[in-house]
This record gives sequence, C-alpha cells and structure tokens, in this order.
Amino acid sequence: MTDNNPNKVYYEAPPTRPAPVTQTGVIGWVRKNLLASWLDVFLTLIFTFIVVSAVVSFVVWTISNANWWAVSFNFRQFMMGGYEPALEWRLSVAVLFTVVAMGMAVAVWVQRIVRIAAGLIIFTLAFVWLVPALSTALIPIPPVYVAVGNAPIAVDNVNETARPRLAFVGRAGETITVQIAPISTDEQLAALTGFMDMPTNGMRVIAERRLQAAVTRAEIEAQLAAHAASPIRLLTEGQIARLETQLNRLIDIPPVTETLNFAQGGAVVEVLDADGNSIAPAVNLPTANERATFTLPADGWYILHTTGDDDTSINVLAVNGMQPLLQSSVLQPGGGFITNYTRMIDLFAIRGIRAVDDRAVPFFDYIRNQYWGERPFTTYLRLFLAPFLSQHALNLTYILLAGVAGYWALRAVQRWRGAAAGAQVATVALALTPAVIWIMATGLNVPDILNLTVVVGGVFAVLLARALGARFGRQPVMVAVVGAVAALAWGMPLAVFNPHYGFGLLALVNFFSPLLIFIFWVIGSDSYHASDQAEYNRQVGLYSVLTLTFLVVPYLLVQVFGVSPSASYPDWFLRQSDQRLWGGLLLTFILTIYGIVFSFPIGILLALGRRSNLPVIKYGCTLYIELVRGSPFITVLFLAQLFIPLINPEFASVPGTIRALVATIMFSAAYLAENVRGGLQSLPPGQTEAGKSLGLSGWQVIYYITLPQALRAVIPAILGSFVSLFKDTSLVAIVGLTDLTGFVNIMVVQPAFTGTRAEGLLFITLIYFFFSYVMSYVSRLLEASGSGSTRRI
Amino acid sequence: MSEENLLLQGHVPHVIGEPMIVCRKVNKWFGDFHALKDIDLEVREREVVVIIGPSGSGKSTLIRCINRLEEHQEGDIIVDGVELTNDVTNISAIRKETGMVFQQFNLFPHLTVLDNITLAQRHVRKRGKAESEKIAMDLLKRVGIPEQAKKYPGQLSGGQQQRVAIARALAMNPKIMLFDEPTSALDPEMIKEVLDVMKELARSGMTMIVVTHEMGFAREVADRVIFMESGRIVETGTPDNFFDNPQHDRTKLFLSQIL
Ligand SMILES: Nc1ncnc2c1ncn2[C@@H]1O[C@H](COP(=O)(O)OP(=O)(O)OP(=O)(O)O)[C@@H](O)[C@H]1O
Ligand SMILES: [Mg+2]
Repeated sequence: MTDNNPNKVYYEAPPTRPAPVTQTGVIGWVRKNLLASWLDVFLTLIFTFIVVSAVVSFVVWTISNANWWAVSFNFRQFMMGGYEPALEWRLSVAVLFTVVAMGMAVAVWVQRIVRIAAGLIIFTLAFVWLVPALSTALIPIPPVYVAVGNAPIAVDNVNETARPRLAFVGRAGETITVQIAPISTDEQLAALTGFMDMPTNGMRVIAERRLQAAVTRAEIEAQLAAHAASPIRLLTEGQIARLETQLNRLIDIPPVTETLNFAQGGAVVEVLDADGNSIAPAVNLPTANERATFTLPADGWYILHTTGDDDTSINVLAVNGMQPLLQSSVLQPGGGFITNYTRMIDLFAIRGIRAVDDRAVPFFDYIRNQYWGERPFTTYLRLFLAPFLSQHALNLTYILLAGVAGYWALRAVQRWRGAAAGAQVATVALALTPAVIWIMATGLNVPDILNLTVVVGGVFAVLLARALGARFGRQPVMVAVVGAVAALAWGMPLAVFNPHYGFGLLALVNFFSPLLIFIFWVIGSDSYHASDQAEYNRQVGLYSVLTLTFLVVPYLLVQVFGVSPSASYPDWFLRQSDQRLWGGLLLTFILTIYGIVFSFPIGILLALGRRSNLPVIKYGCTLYIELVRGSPFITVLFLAQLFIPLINPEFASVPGTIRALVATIMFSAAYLAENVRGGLQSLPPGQTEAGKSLGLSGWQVIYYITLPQALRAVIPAILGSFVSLFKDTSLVAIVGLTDLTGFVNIMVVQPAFTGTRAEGLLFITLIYFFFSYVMSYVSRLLEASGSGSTRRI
Repeated sequence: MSEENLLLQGHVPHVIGEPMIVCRKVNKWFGDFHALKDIDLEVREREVVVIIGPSGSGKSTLIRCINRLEEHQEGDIIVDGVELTNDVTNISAIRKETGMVFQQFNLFPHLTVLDNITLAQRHVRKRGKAESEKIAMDLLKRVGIPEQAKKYPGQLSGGQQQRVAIARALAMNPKIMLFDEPTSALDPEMIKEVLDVMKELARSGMTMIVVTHEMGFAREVADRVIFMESGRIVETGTPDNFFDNPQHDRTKLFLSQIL
C-alpha cells in the first residue's frame, strides 16, 4: 500500500532510524570534508599526493640512506660543544634543577596538563627503553663482510688483495662468529648489503655493474630485434645508430664469482690478541656450512687473521660481532691530543695507541668499510635507533623523573603549607633557574665571587637609595647624598678590580647602577610621608651597613690582603669553564636564556623611556630602538664582535660567546621594548587616570597598574619574540661560534661524516622545533589561563 | 520626623560649611580650543553640586581640572586650602583628598575587587594589609556587595563595578568626591543601585560634584545645579529654581529637550 497522503498525521511517534551511512561516520566525514565539491576533490587529491610523496621519500631516506652515526657519534658536541668533560656534571645539575623547577611550575600553574604530561612521560620512557630492548633481542646485528683468499682479487678495474689481518675492538665475553658467506653467483654478490671491506665492495660493485650491463644489453637487443621483425619502421636510422654505439660501449665484464673462483676453496680463521697470540686454535672453514666461534676474554684490541686454504679461490666471510671503528682525536684536559677508537654501533671507545703488532695491522675502519647496499628497516632499528636510544635512555629517564619529583615535591609543599606557599616555592625555583644555570655553566671562582659580592653591594645601594627617598623625600641635599651612594656603588667595583677590570655581570650592573640608584630614589621618595619614619629609619640603617659591607669587604680582600681578583683558582670546587669551548645546544640556550633575562628589564626601561616626557630620554630610547630594529641581527652581531674591544682595550679578551650574548641582549631588548610599548598603548587612558586620581605617583601607576596589564596583554607577543630569539641565535654560526647550527658546519668537514649535512640539519631542526613548540605551548597555556587580556573588563 | 520621611518629602538642604573648592577665573585650552572660559565656582563643605549641560560643554574638563587630570592654564583652583600648581607635593596632596568616579568605572582589571580597593590605601595611605582589607570590606558592605570581594572586575555587572569604583575612591577617606557621569554607561535597572549609593553618600555629608543627566537625582539631592554651555557657566541655582524657573534661554531649551 502506498501512502501518498500529502497531509499525513502520525498518531504514534515515528520510529527513530539511524542516519544514512553515507552521511555519518568515516564515510560521512570524508564526503563532507574532503569530497564536498569537485574543487575539494581536486585539492584533496593534489595535497594528498604532495604530502605523501614528500613524506615517503623523506622516510625512505631516513631509514635506508641517512647516516645517523653523524649524529650519535657527535651527540655530545651537539649538546655542549667542547665543554670541559670534567665539569660536565655541573651541566647535569643545571638541567636537573631546571626540570625540577618546571615540574613545580606545572603543579602550581598548569595542573590541567598533568594528564597529558604524564602520558607523554610514560610513552617516552616506554619508547626509549622498549625499542632498544626489543630490537636488540629480536634483530641480530648484520654481519660485516670481509674478503678472504690468497690469490689477488683482480677483475675488471678492481685490483686488490684480501687483508689477512684486520684489527678490531672487542669486549670481554663477546663472541665472534665467522662463516663463509654463501655466495656462488654474481646475483648473490650484487645483492650483498652491510659493512664490507674495500675488496668485497669492489667485487660487489663490479657484479652489480655486470648485471646492470646485461639488463641494458638485453633491452637494446630486444628493441633492435623488434625493429628488424616489424613490417613497419619502429626506429629511425639515427636511433638505430645511437643504440648500436651504446651497445658497443657496454664493456664486457667477466663474471666475478667465476673469475675469482668463488666458493671453490675454504678459509682458515683465527683470532689473535693485541700481542699477536692466538686466543683459540685456528678453525678451518671448508664450506659455507661450517662456522667458527671465538669468545673474547677481555676488552681490547684483537686481530682477525684469515687465509684461504688454497692459492686460487676467493671467498667473502660474514663476520658477526665485529663493528667498524672510527678514529678521532680528542683534546686532553692537560693539553695535547689523544686518539680515540670508537665502535660505531655501541660507541664503546678505546683510547690511546692502537696496541696491535706495531701498528702494521690495518683496523676495520669505519671510513673505508662503509655500509653498502640497501638498508632495511630492521637494520635501521638495530644499527641506529636502538643504540642511540639506549645511549640516552638513562639520562632521559633522570631528566623526566626530576620533573616528576619536582611536581610531587611541590604537591607535598602545597598539602603541608598551603597553596600560597607552594606558589612561592615554585616562583623562587623558577626565578633561581637562570642563576643556577649560569653559575653551573661558568663556574663560581674567586673572581666571580668577588664580582657577585660587589653586585650584591650594588643591589643594596639601590635599596638604600629607595629607603633614603622614602625617609627624607626629595630634599635638594639628598641629591648629594644619593650621588655619593651612586658614586660608591659605581666606583668601588672599579677600585676592587683595578687593574683587572674584567667584563661580565659586574660591568653590566656597574654600568647601570647610578641610573638605577637615582630611579629608585625617585620611586622611594614618592612614598615619602612625615608620619611613617620608623620603618624607613630601620631600612636606611640596615641598607647602609649592608651596602658598605658588600662593597668594602672585597676591596679590603683584594687591595689589602692581596687576593687576586683575576686568577682562577683551578682546584676550586666550581672552577671556571672556558667559554670559548662552549657550543651546541648549551650555547644556543645560554644565548637565549640570558638574552631573555637581561633584555627583559632593559626592554621595559626602553619602553618606559620612549613614553617619557623628557625629550632627551624619549628620543634617546627611540633612536636606540629604531636603530636596532632597523638593522639585521647579523649586523648587530658583527658590530658587537668588533666594537666591544674598542670600548675598552681590556675587553679584547672577552670571548666571542659573551660578545654574541651582548649583541643578543641589545637586539632583543629593542624588540621587547616595542612589544611592551604596544601593550602600554593598548591600555585605555582611564587606567592611568584612575590610578592618579587615587593619589598614586607616576611610578606607582606604572608599577602597580599599567606595566602588569601591559605585560599580560603582550605575553603572547613577548613569548613569540623569544621563540624567534631562540631561532635567531643560530646566526652566531656566521661569526664563528659553534652553536647547534655552527656545529653542523664543523661536523661535515670531519672525514668520516662528509656529506652528512642533511642529517645534521634535520637533527637540529628537531631540536629547534621541540623547544620552540614547548615555548609556544607555554604561551598558549598562559593565554588560556587568563593571564593575558582575558581579564579585561 | 525620621530621616526616611524627610527624604520622601523631597529635597533636604545639607548643612553647608566652609569653602572646599574654589575656582577663580579658570581658563583652559586644548591647543587652540578654549575649553573652559572664566570659570568661577565655589563649593562648600558638605555641599552637593550637580553640573549639567550639553555634550562638549566642558563639564568633564572642569572636574578633571579640580584633581589635575587636566592642567588649567589661567586662574586659580584651590582645594581644601591647597592651591593647584605644578608642585608635585600639592598635586598629590589634593588627589589624596579627592575621590573620583568615572563614567567607564576604570577598575583595575588585573586585580580582584578587594585589591582594587586596598591598592592605594596601602601605597598612598600606608595602611597595613589587615587594616586596609577591613576598610575595604566595610565599604563593600556599605555599597552592598561584600560577597564580590574575591572576584575580578570583569566578572561583575556594570552597576556592581561602579559601586566598587565608589568604594575604591571612598577608601582613601576623601573630603571631596567627583562623579563624571557615573550612570551613563549603565543599563536602567542598574542606574538606581548606583544612585542609591550616591544619595546615601550625600546624606552622610560628603562634598560632591556630580556631572549627570539624572534630573531626578539632581532635584532630590543637589544643593545647587550648574548649567554649562560651550566652556562657561551659564546658569546656577537651587534645584527648584533651576528646574521650575530657568532664566537663560539656553537653559530652557536644554531642559525642554531633556525633560
Ligand atoms: N584631550 C583633549 N584634547 C582636545 N580637546 C578636548 C580634549 N578633551 C576634551 N576636549 C574638548 O573639550 C570640549 C569639552 O569636553 P568635555 O569632555 O569636558 O565635555 P563634556 O561636557 O564632558 O561632554 P560629554 O557630556 O560628552 O561628556 C569638547 O569640545 C572636547 O572636544
Ligand atoms: Mg564628559
């Protein structure tokens, strides 16, 4: 019965039906989002094609072509450059402290990412522990291939002899298994993949060429035959001529395995120790079915001694347990170089002279015995990823656990002392981080401690100036008093370090101290009231004593008791690190972190200065900001390199690292100033007016009302400019520093790693991306948590 | 007769005291634009003065000159015996005694309601944390929103925000309160709650200058109404005289448009 009633009435609710399959689920999603119109279909296909082809070729390259040893072998350099190995523990302390502080920050401010963070940590730990464990257990290390035989290996243009003695580095308990590779045809020879010595690779290449030539010949002959057999002309005369020349050019390569009598005879194998004594009786391997196994008694050098059992045949041995070695020179702490021999797969290294048979024995050298042929995914796992991960799994675990520990420590504080105390602890920890990193990285030697003492004296001088302002107001005579304080804070460090006035934190603080002292005096005098003097009396007294103590004690130590302000006492617990050696991520981080830390206050002062009513300050700041913003970072970098020694001849000894840091700070401060100024300008004028109408002074309005709001409003912009600062530091490579980018340039001139620029760049790209992403993520968290502009009325 | 009944009967003049604000021949220019012309005005202690006038007539400019948010170029302004000059000490002394409430509330959005009210107490009046918070809570009770203390301004309605702004100004114990169209940015149902607070304030004896278009309020609370027109005071009088018997043509026109 058909129901065509146009005014149908339902007396019962019609049954619910599922939506049509074509509209929901995967099909629906695809139809709606990917294939909604012909244009969409077209775009989807094009983009899928582009993405897939890019990703596929990339992944294929990563797995089967890239030489990741460039990264794993140079990992330390990527991380810290040539930082003194003896001081490396201090960097670990700095890293762990930072991570603990970050864990604390998560507990206080971004509790809601805890689940994601925990998931990521568990996943990472599982990945870095399980992947190496599983691949080591399941995938055998592919053998290395070594030619053996007493006859010369001469075929086509290859003219070699098998090396009867080959040195390698073994570890106690490892076994070396040797077998004749089952190769009797050229096809098998050409299909060989793995590490192989030069004779073997030579034979493999010839076999490959021969097979290739055969294929080409067959193709050409087929074309010519088809032409001859065809009733119509398939080819022009020219084409035929060209094909025939090509055919004639194909050299007749003799079959390799036949020529060299492959698999005709056997081999005798023996393993000798470094002194040339046999560690076990020699084993005769007549065919590919037998294998010889040797267990190594100790860590050290061994020699694989192989000979053919007749004088005509050649074989390729598959040797399991032998790894290629990379020879490298390492600077000794005491001076001079020492040679390192590093196994490529597990990076086990032996130092010093190769103690084998008066060095006459060649060793299984990574540079001459490369991995040839296709590299399957399992090999990639076993040779690259698994060793890399297992080398860093433990450190990574410590780092992640430090974060977890920081988190739980702070939760404990919160439970024990309340949320406010927790926030305080986390704030202090975060605020201390830059100081801890700096002290740990550079060391804290006598000169630094003297430096620090006078810096602290300067800080107390600033506090004293503020207290003086609050206690005595802006009386004219106070200008003289504050001037004296400023002169003391400025002149005393010079006196202390005379004539070794160096460059560092001290010079920076010293430069700004008179300015700061006067600013804080003015700020203090804003709260001058005849009524509440008791508190300020106390402060004036306290800070006078502290200022004098911290400025005078170093003076006495140096000028009276003869402590040298420049000698670095080498046995000191935190002895100084040579900043010239810094490189890699360490340098990148130092430039970024201290670029941020120092440019932040300078940027704020510049922004306020640019809004000042005093023309000199206003135009001075404007000029600075516009000059710096108008020049590329690279120019500022070069200028800092060249100009810093001109400021003061003493500064000629300032390492390039610090010069680059100064440039970074100068550069970043100008951009930050503009960000902050933008934030200040975005505030409605009513905010300042409301503050003023309540009787707050100009400085108080800035400090309590406009600056906090402006900074919150521009947090995303500020973090954004910090992300670009982080990436821009890569330009220091051009002025000769070996930060992450600079190191890639150095890496590719190592003989073992020529042509690995792509690997290096890809690796540092991942590092840059990781930290940039974390920074942007933090910025987004801050925005979402309402510290940004969301609290606006 | 109780105070309530007095109020119900209409206007109750305040007990007027000594001169609190004195303006003598005050002139103000914005560049070439003459914004205030020969303003002569005296406001006495406990007096409530309402200023009305068309847009752009200089009402805001006048009261902003009184606490130096704008600088006048000629004439004298004397507040509570202190003359407004360029001396920072005088300016801050005057601002300390003068509370101001703005049309746009101008609360500090990054601080809680409580911190909005305690900030200046602590850094200008130098009160301790506990003391200033107690004063803040008392004032919040007085304006009827003690339960909002921990919220941020963005979480309050306009009327509530304006009452916080009044509490913030009162926390400094000012002798004078200046109101610049405190209800113009509010929805009608919120206007009443703010006006109630202002009425209570007037009753408590605060010296007030109020710029407003709320004629009911002016009639009920003001001791004197001032009409301004293109930078000068055109007419002044008691509310009854002013509204029922305006002298100046411009005043009549304005009142006919607005009432
Ligand atoms: N900062 C300034 N710069 C230049 N001109 C200004 C400035 N502030 C106000 N004016 C001008 O001064 C005149 C008086 O402005 P004022 O804000 O005092 O008017 P008003 O009476 O408060 O008006 P409204 O009722 O619209 O608030 C107006 O013509 C205005 O354009
Ligand atoms: Mg106005």
